[in-house]
Amino acid sequence: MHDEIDPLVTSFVEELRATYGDAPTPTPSESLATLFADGIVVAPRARRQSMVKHGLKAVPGKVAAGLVGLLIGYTGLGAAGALPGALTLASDDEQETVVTEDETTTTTLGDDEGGDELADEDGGEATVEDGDGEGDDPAPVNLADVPIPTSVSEAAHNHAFDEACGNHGRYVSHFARFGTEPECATSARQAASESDPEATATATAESEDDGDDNKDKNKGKDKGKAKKAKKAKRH
Amino acid sequence: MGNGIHPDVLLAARAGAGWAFERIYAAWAPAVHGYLRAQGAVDAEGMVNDVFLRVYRRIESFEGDATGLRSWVFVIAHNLVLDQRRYAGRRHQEVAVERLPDLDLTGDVADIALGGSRVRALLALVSPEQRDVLLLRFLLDLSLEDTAAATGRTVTAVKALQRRGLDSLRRRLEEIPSTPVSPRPDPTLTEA
Repeated sequence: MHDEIDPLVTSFVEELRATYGDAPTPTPSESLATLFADGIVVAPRARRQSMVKHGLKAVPGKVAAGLVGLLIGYTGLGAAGALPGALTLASDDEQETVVTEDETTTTTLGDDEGGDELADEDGGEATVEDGDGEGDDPAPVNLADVPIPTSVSEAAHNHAFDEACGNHGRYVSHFARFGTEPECATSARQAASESDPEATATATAESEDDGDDNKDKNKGKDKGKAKKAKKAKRH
Repeated sequence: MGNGIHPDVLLAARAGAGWAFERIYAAWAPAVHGYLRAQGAVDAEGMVNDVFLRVYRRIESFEGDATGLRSWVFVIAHNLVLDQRRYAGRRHQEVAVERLPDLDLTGDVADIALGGSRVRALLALVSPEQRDVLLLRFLLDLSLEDTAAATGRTVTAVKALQRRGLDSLRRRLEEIPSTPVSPRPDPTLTEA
């Protein structure tokens, strides 16, 4: 990197580094100290918006104008009926979107080990097995189903617990420091699993099973009482 | 001068983690402080704080690795020096960046070569533009490309400034008798 300096200048460079290269760490100002303690709240939406803006800015003006013109022309032709397939294409796109959401929902349910176990044990509990009904509307993210990140990079891209932890930075910084999710995320997961309707349905099913068992037990008791009553009559 | 910042720390800093900011500060504040002192800044410590406040305000938009972040921090430090220099040039009054001592260049250069101020005196003998390049290249170890970006020049222009600055130093060094570098004070002794 510094091949062109001769021995005379080399000694100067060494002296320069000895004098200024290892200066003491200045005491952070109050603003910096507060920043170290509290960090900065990074809004994910703002970042996405800035990325979108950045992306749009990157598109040359003429290209963007051309694309807009094409879109207007296409829409105009479609409205005039010159493109009979346009409506069909649009509806296909919507269906594809719905299908994607369904797949996502189905995948999420499929990843739920508890759901699979319930399906095996209960033998066709509709609320567990049938995912079609839940795919019609976009389902909210179940925090219990969000996979635990295995790297800081995954944690940085996981915004599911931003609200539970107050801000995204708190979640990422804890994970980067300790390799585990913070307590706010763990509590949110636990709360989500406890309020899981599948779990509720399971509990209901189990309680119903218990009720049936109790009914069977009561039937047995009743039978026993009836037998005693018959014996008493004979005597 | 090592990098010293783990990629996970950079990731956490971009997410706004305060502890990551502190790690970055601890790693590079001494180098920034040294650079500002070499540039003759009066309130070098205050300027170091300004540098890192600027860094943290913009770090979310930074794209690159830890090595790139280090260069970026030093570029911000250099820009602060330029801002102060322009301010001093406009106001011609009390300046934030201390003017390097008015040296009697007609006299014997050896008279001004005393202890640690020898380096400062030699730096004063080159133009500000040459001094910027020499400090960015040899004190902060920035590449030619990063130095060019920091100074707003082409790589060719940076090479030319570096060569002219080194030639000036070489001529002066040949005139000055070699003097031992005064040892830096032992911080442990100072604390005692």
